[in-house]
Formats: sequence, C-alpha cells, structure tokens
Amino acid sequence: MPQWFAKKIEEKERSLYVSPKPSECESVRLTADAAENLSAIRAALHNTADFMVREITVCGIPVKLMMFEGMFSLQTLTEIILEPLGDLTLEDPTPQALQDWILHRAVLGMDQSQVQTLGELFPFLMSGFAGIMIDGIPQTIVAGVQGFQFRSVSEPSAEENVRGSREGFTEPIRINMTMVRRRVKSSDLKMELLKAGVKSKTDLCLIYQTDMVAPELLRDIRRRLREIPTDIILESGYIQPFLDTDIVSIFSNVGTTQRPDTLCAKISEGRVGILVDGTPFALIVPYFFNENFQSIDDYTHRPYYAVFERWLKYLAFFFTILLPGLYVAVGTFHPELFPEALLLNVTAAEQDVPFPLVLEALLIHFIYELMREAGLRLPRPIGHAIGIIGALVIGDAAVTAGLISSPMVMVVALTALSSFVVPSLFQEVTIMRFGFIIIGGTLGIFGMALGLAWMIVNLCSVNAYGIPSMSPESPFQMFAMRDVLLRVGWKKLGRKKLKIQNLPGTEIESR
Amino acid sequence: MKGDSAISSWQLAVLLFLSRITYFFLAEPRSEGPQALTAAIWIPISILANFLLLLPAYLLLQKNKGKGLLDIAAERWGRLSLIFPAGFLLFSVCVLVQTACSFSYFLTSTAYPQSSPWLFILLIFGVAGYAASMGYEPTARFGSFVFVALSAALLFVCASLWPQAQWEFLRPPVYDGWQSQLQLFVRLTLGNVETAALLFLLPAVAKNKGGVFWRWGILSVVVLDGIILFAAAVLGDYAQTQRFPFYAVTKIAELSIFQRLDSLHVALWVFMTLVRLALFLEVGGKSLARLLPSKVSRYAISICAAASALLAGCLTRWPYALERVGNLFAGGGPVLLLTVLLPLLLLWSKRKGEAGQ
Amino acid sequence: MKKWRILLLAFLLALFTGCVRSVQLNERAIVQAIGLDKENGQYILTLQIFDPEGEEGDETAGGKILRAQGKTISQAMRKANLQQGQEIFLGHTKLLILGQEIAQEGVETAIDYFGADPQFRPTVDVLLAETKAEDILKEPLDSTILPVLSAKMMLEGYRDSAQLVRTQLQGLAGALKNPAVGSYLPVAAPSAEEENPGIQVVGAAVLRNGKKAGDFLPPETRGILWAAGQVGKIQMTLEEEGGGAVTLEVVDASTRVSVQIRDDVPFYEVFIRVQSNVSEELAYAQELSFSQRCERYEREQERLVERETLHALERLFHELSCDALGYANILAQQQPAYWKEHQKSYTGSLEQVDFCVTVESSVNRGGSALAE
Repeated sequence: MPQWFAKKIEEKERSLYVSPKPSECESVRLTADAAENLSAIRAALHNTADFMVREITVCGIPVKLMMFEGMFSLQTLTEIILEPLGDLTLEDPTPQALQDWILHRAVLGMDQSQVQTLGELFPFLMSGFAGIMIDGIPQTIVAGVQGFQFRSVSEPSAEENVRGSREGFTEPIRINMTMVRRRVKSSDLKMELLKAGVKSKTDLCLIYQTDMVAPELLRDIRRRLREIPTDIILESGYIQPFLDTDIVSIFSNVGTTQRPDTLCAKISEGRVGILVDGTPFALIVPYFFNENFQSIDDYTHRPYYAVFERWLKYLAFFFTILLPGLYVAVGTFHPELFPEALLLNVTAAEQDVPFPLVLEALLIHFIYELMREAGLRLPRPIGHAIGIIGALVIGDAAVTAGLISSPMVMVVALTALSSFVVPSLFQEVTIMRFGFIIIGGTLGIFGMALGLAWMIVNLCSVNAYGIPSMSPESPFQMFAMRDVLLRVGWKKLGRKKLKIQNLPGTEIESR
Repeated sequence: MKGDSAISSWQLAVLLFLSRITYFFLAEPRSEGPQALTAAIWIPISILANFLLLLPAYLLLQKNKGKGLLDIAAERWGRLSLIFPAGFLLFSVCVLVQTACSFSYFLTSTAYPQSSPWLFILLIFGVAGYAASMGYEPTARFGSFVFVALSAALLFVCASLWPQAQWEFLRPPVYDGWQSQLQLFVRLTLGNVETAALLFLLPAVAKNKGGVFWRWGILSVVVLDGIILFAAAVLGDYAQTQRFPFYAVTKIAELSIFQRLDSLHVALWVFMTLVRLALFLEVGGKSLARLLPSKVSRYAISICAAASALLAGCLTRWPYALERVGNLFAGGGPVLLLTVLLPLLLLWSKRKGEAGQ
Repeated sequence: MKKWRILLLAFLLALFTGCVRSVQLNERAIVQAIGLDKENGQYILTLQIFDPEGEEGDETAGGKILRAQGKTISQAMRKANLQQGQEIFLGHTKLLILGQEIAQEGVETAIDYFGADPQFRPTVDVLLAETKAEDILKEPLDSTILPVLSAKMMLEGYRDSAQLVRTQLQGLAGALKNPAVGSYLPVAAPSAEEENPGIQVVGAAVLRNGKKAGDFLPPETRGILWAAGQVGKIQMTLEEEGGGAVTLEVVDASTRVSVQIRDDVPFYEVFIRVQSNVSEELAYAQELSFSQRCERYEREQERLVERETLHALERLFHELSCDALGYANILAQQQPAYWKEHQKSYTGSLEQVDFCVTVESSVNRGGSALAE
C-alpha cells in the first residue's frame, strides 16, 4: 500500500475512533473521612441514580453501606450485615476495632475483601457486592451479597444432545465455575480469575488441569488476554480474535461451547477453558479442526453408531461447501461427469431457466440465507411462517415460474440440511459455499480443486499455540486417529489419555 | 517467509514421491519410448543408482549436521559459494517452467480445450506460491492428504479395470535395444530432479534423515511400476495413441454409475502439480533469498513464482524451447552437477582445508 | 496479509486472460449416437440428439435426428452445430455406427477423428451398418427418454446369445495402431419386422489394416468369442439326432493361448475352459442317468466349442489373413526372438499359422427336478 494512502487512513481513524483508556478517577485512593470518600465516589459515578447509600451507626461509629440498586439480595444483606452489625457490642468501640471485628470475627459470607482505591471498589460494587465504609478507616470492606436476576440453568440452545446432561452455562461466571467444579472433583483443576475490558472490567476465568496443561500454552494465553485493548467486553466473541492464530484463516482456533461437560472433556486433554462473565459461551483454547466434528453424543452412543455419525458429519461438511459449486462446475464445464440419465433429467429441467447455472445457484442460496436470517430475527409466532413461505415461494412458485430448476432446489435443500449437521462451522461453510459457487461457475473443476487446495493448505499452515490445527490427520498419528476417523470404545479410550501437546508436529514441550 | 519447522521423514518422502509421480503423469515422453516392462525393470535400478550418486552429498550433510548445502558452501567458499544458490535457483525455475507448461498443455488438451494456458499458469502459481510461502510444513501436510486421495483414486481405477487387463501386452525388454535402455536408465537416474530437492530439504527433516530416500524409493518403485504395467495391460496398443496414457486409463475406468470420472482425476492431478510446484518454489525461493539483499529477500518466493509463471506463460508459445529444456534435464547434466559434482567439490575443499591445517 | 495480496493479484491477473469458456446445459446438444457414412466423396453425419421437449407418444420422443454432410468429418460436424445452434456435446455418446463405404475405404480417419476428441469416451461401442448408418439411426424406436438405450439393450440381448462381438473405440484404435493385428466389428441392420422396429445384428465384419476384409454370420460369431476369450454368460443348445435338445447355461468361460514355434511357423495352442449348468432338457438321452447325461453334455459341448473355434480361426487366419484376435501380442510376449525376426512378415504368413484347440468342459448342476 502506498505510504501516503496509509497515512490518510491513519488520520481518518484518529478522527473517528478513540483508543480505550481507563477513567482518571480509578486511581483515587480512599481516605479516612467517609463523607469525603462518599463525595468522591458520587462524583466519579456522576451521581448515577442506581447508586444507593445507607448510613448506619455501629457502636457509635458512622458506617456507610454502599450498593447498586437491583444487584444485591436484601435478605442476604439483612442476615449477614445489617443484623450482626445492629446487634454488635464492642468493648473498645473504635473504627479500627470495628474493622477488625468485621474482617476477622464476623461471618459476612465467604466472599470478602478490602479495597483501597476507587478503581478497586467499583468493580466489586458493580458485581453485586456491598461496600462497608467505616469512618476513620482509609479502606473499604466489600462483602458478597449478590442478588441480581439471571437466567436459570437450562439446556444449551445451540448444542442439544440426545443423551447426557441437559445443563448449559448461564450468564453469571460464578455459577458456570461451580458447574465445572462439580464435574471434575480433582485437586488439579485450577481456576484463575482475570479481568478484561478497560471499561467493562469483565470477569474472565481460566480453567485448566495443572497436571495436563503445558506451561507455555498458559503463558501465551495469559499474555494475549493481558494485551486485549478493548473497552467493553460483552461476549466471549469479543476476546476470541485476540486468542486466535496470527495466520489469517477462515477457520478459528478457538472453540466455543455452552456445555460444562464438553468443557471438562476438553480441559482434561490439556486445553484451557475460558469463562466470560455475561455470556453462556465458554471458549476452548486451542481448538483443532477435527473437533468441529465431535460432540458429546459421540461418547455416549455405541462406537459403531458414533463412527457412523462422525462420518455423516464429515460428508455433510464436504457436501455443504462443495455440492453447489460442484453442481455448477459440472453442469457448466464437465457434463460428462453426470451419469447419463441424470444429465438428461437436469438438462430437461434447465431448459426454461433464463439464468446461467452459477447465477441461479447464487440467487437461490442468497434467498435461502435471507430466509434463514429472517427466521432467526422474527418473533416466534411469525417465524414459523417463514418455513411455509420458503416452501411455497421457492419450492413451488419459483420452479413453476421457471426462475430456478427443481434439481437446484434439491441441491440447496441438501446443502442447507448438511450445514446444520456441523453447527460449529456454520459461519465458515456459508461463506465458503458462496466462494466455491463462484469459483466453480467461472473455472470449473480446476478452480474447485485450487480452492480446495488453498483451504487445506491454509488449515495446515495454522499452528495454534504451537500445535498443528490439522493434527492428528496431518502430521499423522495413528494413536490419536482412534478418536478422529473412528471412535473406539471406552475400554480403549479410557486406558490412555491424550495430551494435546503430545500430538505430532507440536512445538511446545509436554509437561 | 514463515520460519520453517521440522518435517518428518515420511512427509518429505511423500512430497518427493508425489512430485515424481506428477512428472510421470504429465511430462514423461511417450509413444516411441521403451516397453512398459522395460521401464518397470529399470525404475528400481535407477533408484539404486540414485542412492550411490547421492552418497557423497549425504556424507557431507551428515558431517555438518543441522546445516544445508548452501550453508556449508557459504562457510567454505565465501562469496564464491553463491554459485550454489544460483545453480539451485536456475534448476528450480527450469523444473517449475517445465511442470507448469506440461500441466497447462494437459489441461488444454483434455478438460479445457478452448482456454488460455495463461489462466491455469497464473492461478496455479498463485496458490503454489502461497503454499510455499507458508513454509515446508503446510506443503508437507497438504501432501499427506493428496497422498491419501491418490491412493484412493488408484485403488478405484485398479478395482474397476482389473478384469480388463490383458497381460499379453507386457513384452519383455529384449525389444528395446541396449542403447535405448541405457538412455532410459540415464533419463530415469539423472533426470530424477527430486534428488536435488531431497538434498536441499534434508536438513529440514527432524529425525531419521536416512529413511527419507528409502521410503521415497520404495513408494516410487511400487506405485510407478504398478501404474506403468497396469496401464500397459489395460490400454494395450491404444496407449500409443495417447499423449497422457494415465489420463486415458482414468477415462475408461467405470464402476456402476461412476463413469467418466476423469475430470475428478484432473482435480487430483491439480493437487499433485501444486505439490510439485510448491516443493520447487521452496527450493528456488530459498536459493533466491540468498542472492537478494535482506530487505527484499522475504519476497523471494513470490518473485520466484512470478518469474516462473511469466516464463512458463511465454514458453507455451514456443514448444521447441521447452523441448530443449526437457532434453537438457533428460540428459542428466543439471542433476549431476547439483547433486554429485558440487557436493564432491565441497567435500574435497573441506578435506583440503583440513589438510592445510 | 501480503500473501493474500499476491494471491488476489494472481486471481485478478488471471481474469484478464479471459477465463474459461462456459456452455450452459441448455446450450448443449447431447449426442447419444453417431452415424457416419460416405457418399460421393462426402461424409454424411447422422446424429441422434437428446430432445428434452419431445412429445410423449411420438416415435422419436426423447431424441431427434440431425443430418449434416461435408467434405471432412470436421466440416460435417460444424454444419451440424450451425443447423441447430447448440454446441454439440459428445461426452455421452454411446454408439458410433460406421457405414459400409467407410469400412471399405478404411475406418482409420473416422476413428482418429473421434479418438482425438477429448469429450469422446474411449468406451463407446462401435458398430458397422450393413448398408448405411443413417438407416439404423432413423429407425423409430421405443418412445423412451433414451432411444439409444433401446438399441443398447437389443445389442446386449444379442451378446447374451453370443451373436455379438463387442468392440469399443479404444480397442479399435489400438488395433489400427498395430499393423500386425486386425479387428472385428459387429454388423447391424434395421429390423426386418415392421411390427417390431429396432435393430438386429446380422454378423461381424473383420477389418484388416482398418479396411473390411470379410464377414462372419451370426452363428459363426461365437467361434470368434471363444477364441478371443470374450464369452460371458451365454446359453448353448446341444441338439441330438433323435430330436432331443438340451440348453446349457455357460456360467464361466476362459481362454488361454500359448504359442510355440514349429518349423519356423507359429503354432497356437488355444485352451478353453467352460463351466455350465443344465438349463433345460428336452427329451435328450433320457435313458441315461443325470450324471451320465452330464458327461455326455460335456463331451458334446467340447466338440461344439472346438469346432466353432477352429472354424473361426481358420477363417480368420487362413481365409482372411487377418489376426483379428490379437494373437500377435501373445507371440511377441512368449516368443520374442522369433517375433523380432519375423515381425514384418507376420501378416503375410498367416496362412501358414497352425493351431490346435483343446476344450475342457464341466457341466455342474441342473434344476431340482432334473438332479438325481
């Protein structure tokens, strides 16, 4: 890119976008004067309406209770703070003695800490903690009295299964942490809490098994999380690109899951799970290509059926990306590939269609994507109507009007069905499908082959955290293939544990 | 360029095997050549001859573990050592041009008769350049997939055509005079350009470097002999009318509703050609990087790919020039120079240096 | 990102080359069968093309006939293109029928033309018309979507009764390349029955150096098949002088040929192994037990096969001087020294070639009503 052009883009960016930076008030230290602290807090919060303060006196000492409206449980607040403090009698009623009693003798719940700056205080208050500010003490005690409303544990929407747990992650990170801890009762299971997001200070939790994970992998992940410059993190998808490989690839090396059982299975192989507060989608790092075809059902079904399902997914993947493009390529450039009877039927069907095959394919796939998106966004009562409209408009009227042919409708139906068989690759296959249609329609089988080759080379060039993304297919390892091409029975699977850093081609050291 | 990690012995063997078999599919001269059985007998002999010829270079690399030929030359000869990368670069460009021209000729003769060869040359060099620029590993891993696809395709062809094989078409080597057999031996041995790629890439192999040659050799012998004999038995005299006999075999292979899958085989050969091009782009690109200033050296593979594409596109209009290049390689001079003479000179100069001390 | 730019640049540059010429399906004329005749120095091309708009009940539904002529085959093909505006697509052609005049003049030009076309399948069946190829293709067939399939099914029926020698383009092209061997083609004609239109096989023609050298009648055709080892599952009827008959169903047959040199002349030993089941017995040697009858059937079958094979060999080698069976390849493989010396004079000395035929027959079982 010419330098002058790059400079112009930089200037434009500077005028439109602002780099995130922490608020200036966050470094303000608390003083011993509670009133002064309160003024500073109100000013920092710009007198926000949801900030509540309750001023009480405990043993003659002014104490201010601070919390945000709707974030706390009144019952918990009353039982563990108000009642004990209300009944308290101290021999030597000084602020220090009161602080000492609260910190070391009272049981204000398990979640308790002391903060010294506004920057430390605000995340706690905004997470549902109550702040206890004692006049004369330059620190504030925070105690967990969370009582905000959240969605209850329910079945994950995008990862339903036939057999197994019906629990899925929810939005609060603490509840998700307990779901993982309940499933792996091992002392080696470690959870590390971090914060990300300059303004949002979103809680993140790294979960891993200390006896399985590679230290280099952990270091790399921690470094990347620390370097996230984003202002606000509302979903795990915000931090996913920062954890992804540096090589530009259409496939991501960071997986997502809504299921605690899936997360536990992944971390038991040396991966790291990342929970993000506010979203039920946990991240799995690193994530290999073949894992997109694995599901929890594979490990609960009989091996022969699991193998069948696995292969169905592989075939579905190739169908969904290649079938429309191949149909267009063969119909336009290589009709000899069709069996004769099929060719004649297809030719008869295409007689009255005014568009070339490639345009026809692009048109109908575009219409399908429109319908799919509309079905997602519409309210449920109306959403059901989309299916009927789709069937009538596209399946019948368009074919009758001669806009598209019936074989093309079959192709798009099969393609669409196949795309739902591997939901984790939905985004990738949608874009690739369009790409292959264009390539197939302009360059035929040669173009399809080049496109496929590019895709495979791209996949093979990705070493996520030093581990090849295409492992164990390439570089090949027979032992690991037992859970890729096949799914051997648990009697064999259970005997030896796979460690991802032992996969062939890995550049990181095994623990 | 991405830094290159180690590849395994099998990966390099598969890459070399795919490259060799691509040459046989696309570029090996036909119709007036020796009998299939003669070729099948001389292929393993040529592999043994290659082994003997490569011994000095292999010893040189063993004595300088972790270093490639270019590194060793740079240590011994200083600026004069630039003859090595220049030689490898020229060699690679010639192989690339020949491969690309044969490939475009193949496509325009079979699946795309009315298309411009420039199209195929530019696109395939684009993708091959991308693969080469990602390093050895992605190309090697891609090669593994291509190997599996090739194996499946060969199995399909054999299964569908086995009943039609007429083994009486395999004639003994006596029909080919000693002169033509010697020419065949020289072409198979000294025209084996993959030996130069092997020497260049051997330092990138993590373990079991010695196993690369034998694995490659055994694969080549088994598969090439099998294909040559089988194609001769299936096609018979019809093979003499075909410029690409292996392609003709895929044209007639039919199994139930699976007929005329030759276009799908074309896709497979696109993969194989990509592997060969990427392999020699690695060699040429890394050689060119030694010759260019450091600021520009990271574009070496792209420059090599662009130059080769340009040359190949121009040479498709002058098949005589291409034939001269092919004859030069068939004569064995370039391979002999790079894989035998220059390593021997390096070995000798090392010994001279030690003797001087 | 830079790698992406290079890839994109290559793709954009490639667009300037004009991309690849595409032809939509509705712009293609799918040829199912081709007939080629020659008349007054002009090639007459008859194409049976798939017609997706053919009306049901019409005699030619699913196919339309296109006729074009030219000084060369290419010229005729170009005219055919122009006549109907669609691009001729030969990728699914099933039958190539050559007229008698083409066979008399030499089939090499036609086979070279179609063999060189990348679309054309090497496995296309080649037939010779008794008179004109045009007459066969114009024959109204069953109103199916694929008229040529009707023709192919009829041909398969003839093949089951061993009255059809099957030749594909690939075999014919190979034989033309080798001056030492000839080839054979099935000869077809329009059906004589007006009530059942179709085609019938009227024998086989032997080609020497690409030109017709002689004819074989349908009953003689089986001998060629035995000698060539191309007998599949056929039915053979053995007749008794007393009026009885038995039908044997051949389930497996193989032919092995070896060659020796005797008195400086090739001596071919043809060994044929036949395995059959008894399909139907009609008052044949009823006085014998089943196993005794089977032995008799075996001997009769051996005699019949030997007779047919010898007759075919004598006609081919001695009468027509044509090694249409490709025995020269076996000679070249098994007697290389002799072949090196006599390769050029082989075709001229075919009349002196000698052979013997040995048949080993085994009749295994019959229906439950027949077995003892």
